[in-house]
Amino acid sequence: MGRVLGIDLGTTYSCVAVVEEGSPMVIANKGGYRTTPSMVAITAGNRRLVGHLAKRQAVTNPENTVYGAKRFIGRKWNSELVQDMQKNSAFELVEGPHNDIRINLGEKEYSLPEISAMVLTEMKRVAEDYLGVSCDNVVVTVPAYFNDGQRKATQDAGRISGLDVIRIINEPTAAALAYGFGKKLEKRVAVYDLGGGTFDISILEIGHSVYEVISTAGDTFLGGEDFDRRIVDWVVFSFAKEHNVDLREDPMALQRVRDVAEKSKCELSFQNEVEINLPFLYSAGKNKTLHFQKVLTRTKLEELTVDLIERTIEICDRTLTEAGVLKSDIAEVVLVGGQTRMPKVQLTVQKFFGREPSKNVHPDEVVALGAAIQAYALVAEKSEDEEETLLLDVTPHSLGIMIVGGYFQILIEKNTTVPTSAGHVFTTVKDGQTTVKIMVFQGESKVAADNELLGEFILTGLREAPRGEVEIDITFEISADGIVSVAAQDRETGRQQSIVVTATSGLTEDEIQSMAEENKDHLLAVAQKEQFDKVRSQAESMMGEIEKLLPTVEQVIATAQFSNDALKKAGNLTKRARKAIQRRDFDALTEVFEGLKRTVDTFRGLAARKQTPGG
Amino acid sequence: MNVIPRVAAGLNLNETKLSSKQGFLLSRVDGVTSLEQLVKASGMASEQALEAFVELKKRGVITWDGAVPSDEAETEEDEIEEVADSWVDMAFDPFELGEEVALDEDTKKKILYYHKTMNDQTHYRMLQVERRAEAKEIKRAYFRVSREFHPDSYFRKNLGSYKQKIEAIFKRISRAYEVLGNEQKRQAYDGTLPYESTPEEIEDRRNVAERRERDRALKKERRQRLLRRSPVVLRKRKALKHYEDAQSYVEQNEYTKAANSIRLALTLDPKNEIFERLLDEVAPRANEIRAESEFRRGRVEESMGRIEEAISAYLRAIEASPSDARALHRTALLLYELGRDMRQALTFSRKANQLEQDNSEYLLILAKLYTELDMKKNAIREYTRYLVLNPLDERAEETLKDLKKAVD
Repeated sequence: MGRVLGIDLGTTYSCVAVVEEGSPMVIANKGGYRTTPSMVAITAGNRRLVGHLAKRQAVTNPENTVYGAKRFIGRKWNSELVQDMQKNSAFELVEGPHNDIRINLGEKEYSLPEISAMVLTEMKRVAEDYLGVSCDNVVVTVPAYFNDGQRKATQDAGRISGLDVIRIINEPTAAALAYGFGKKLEKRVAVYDLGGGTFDISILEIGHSVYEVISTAGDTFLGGEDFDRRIVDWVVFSFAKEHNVDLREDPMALQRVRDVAEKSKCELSFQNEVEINLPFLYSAGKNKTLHFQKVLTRTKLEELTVDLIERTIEICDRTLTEAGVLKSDIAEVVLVGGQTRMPKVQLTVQKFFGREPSKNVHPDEVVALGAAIQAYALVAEKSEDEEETLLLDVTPHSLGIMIVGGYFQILIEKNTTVPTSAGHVFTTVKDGQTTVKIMVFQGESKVAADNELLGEFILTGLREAPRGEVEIDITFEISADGIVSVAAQDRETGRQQSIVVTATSGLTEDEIQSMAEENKDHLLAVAQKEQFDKVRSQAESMMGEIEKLLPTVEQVIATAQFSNDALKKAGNLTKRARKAIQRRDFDALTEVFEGLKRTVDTFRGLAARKQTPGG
Repeated sequence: MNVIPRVAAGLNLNETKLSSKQGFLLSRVDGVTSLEQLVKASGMASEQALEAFVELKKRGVITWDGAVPSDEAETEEDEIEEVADSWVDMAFDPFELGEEVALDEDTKKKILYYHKTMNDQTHYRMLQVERRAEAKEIKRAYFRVSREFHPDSYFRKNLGSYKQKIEAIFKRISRAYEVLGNEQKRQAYDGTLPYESTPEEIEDRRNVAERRERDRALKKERRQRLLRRSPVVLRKRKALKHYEDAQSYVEQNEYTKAANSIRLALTLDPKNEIFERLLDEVAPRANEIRAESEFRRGRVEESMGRIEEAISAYLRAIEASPSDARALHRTALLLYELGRDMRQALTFSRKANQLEQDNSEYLLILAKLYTELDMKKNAIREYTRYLVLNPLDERAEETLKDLKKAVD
């Protein structure tokens, strides 16, 4: 399988790692950065930009630059969160065909998996540039609290990018893997992962190289971006108060505020106050531009975000209680995610757990490292003395179905070790009934509708029989990736029943296929363009030389009574090459390329004659 | 134990003498089945069967490669192995086992075994832990077993039908740990299992049993000690012993000793009729013997001039045998000579004369004693008798004459 990469597909930043000679390492991109912004932009020229390039042009092209796409992946269009977020996004969200979300960039609507696929592709490229070999297999991380839809969408992203996502693992689990790697630990740890967009808390039992997740919980809409937004809001409100102007109406201004908010937040982790200075922020009529200049103190930031931090602690508390784990049972608290750099976060966590958190891991890189370790554990041929790493992860949500009265019947409890499965028997309630609809949910509410609908499964083609006589065994399965699948079988006949899945926000197989094709085409086009540019520049330099040598060659030919075929030929070739370049016709250019090469050689030879007369 | 016995080449059964048991065992040897399985299948106690096979091998009836599994260490080792690899003896479906997948045969067998038996196994067996294992041990066991059966350990390998089996086993293991890893669930589950004693309880019971056994032994000993000390029993026992001694002495004609023993026996256990009967039998002869020896001793003492000692000896002889005339006589004589206890001497002498009439010596002393005691008529009578027997004694005649004169 070759080398398998570990990719931390983050909300704000992504990171790629690989295990080299038994130890995991992060791969830096060409700019030397060890993490890459999870940003995608489509330029006016319909060029696709990913990472730092996208981030750099975000201010000037905010409507066509996507950030934090992970916050939308696998979500439904009609969910409240999405409707709320729509107002705060500079890019345009539109409704997709499956109650899903699409993003309008340039001329085209992109699905969330496609956006993530672009980031994945970029990360793959970063790794390939460094390793010098092609890497098609990856382990991708997702927030532990991601539900089935979000996981499936991430898997789809992998497929669209042309990567084989051999496993999806949970971010805090990955962090624990990297934390415990090669240490032969035997203890219970808590991983507090406050990333760019999501929060996870996982309690794990580490026994040498076996990592057993005892329980996990989180909030997939709570992260560093929310902290940024509090600063953005503070700026926007201050500005509105002062100038009676709403900055949110100006995407470019908003992007500047967003950039400075993130930067200020980071700075406030190391200093007590920071001056936010945004000159010429807003143009209010002719010759009048408004500036923003204000000091933000660490205390003020903490005040703005105190409820966010409190929310993480509430989740921690709930998880511990549910798992029956005492704080005193936890031997180590590992902090993961950039937002844990904030002193107030560290202090609050320390106060809650009653112990100083471990600072032995790099909060931005540890997840990718863990993914690489898991990839290695799954596919690499290990030497005798290497301990096999084994993950025993759990499903973060209870899985169940809607029963009479709209209630939720749990079939697989949350925090059940995966892979796992559960069966359920359905019977027909009407005579001659040939179809049964099953609505599958994930969540903890007693009312089915309050949980996340994974999908409606319709069993079709049932035997015609009096009611109650047809019994169908349904098996719900959760894979090691945390992804749900359903199979049905007629109890009596043993016949597999076909299932039609509806009401998921996921992409259809056809869509995924065509998106993957498109992506492939795009990559091919990029590759061809690169190739064309390479050939063009060589051709152009040769043509330059030909032109330069032309007068000398003309003289030689005139005196040596050569036929001027060569001159004619050269003229012809140059003309054809120019045309091919103009039309960006790669094939035509390569056709004349060899001829140009020969002509240059001939001209060089003739020019040499001139310098050694009589030869 | 995993050697495979074969019937020895060129064996002529008609020339071989076998017991029916050996014959039966031999009939089971097919050159395929391992010794272990043969032993198990024999229906006999395994030690017995094993012994019989070893015997057959020693006699050259069967052969197998490798050592004779005779010592206990090997058997023990084998038992351990048996626990670890329960699937070794399972009969596998050759089609299942033959399926071409990326697993070695042992792994296949392990998977087939667990898959086939997992629904009958207790959670403890699934995790390969003791019923009384501590929480920590259970966790470690779960991790260990997970490594063996987690689908990730066979990631993207060609597993064929084994894929589904591995997954099923892992789910079964997870379920086991879900229960055993939770104190409350575990307790509830234990309640559904047949009660199994804790090591402490087993230990306790063993202690109790041991203590009881010890107590019993102690009690027995104490009772015996008490019995031995109990006067009645003790004496009867001793008496019996003496009686037995007596019997053997009788056999050796040691009547004195026999009489002593039987007397001892009777002292300890009076009223014992058996003893009395023997004593009646033995005593006279014993007394005779004793009297004889005492008498002889008296004579020796006398000869040495130790008159008192001689008297004592004669008295003992009389005691032993009141009818010993000689002793009576000699005592009377000595007393007479000492001029002491004449009355006593007279009694002895009279008795001696009664027992042995017409003994001149005896008659003379009797006469003399009567004379000395001034019983003249009796003296005359005895002298007269004496002189009949010993007419030549002039002195006696003179004395008789004197006596007669005095009476007249």
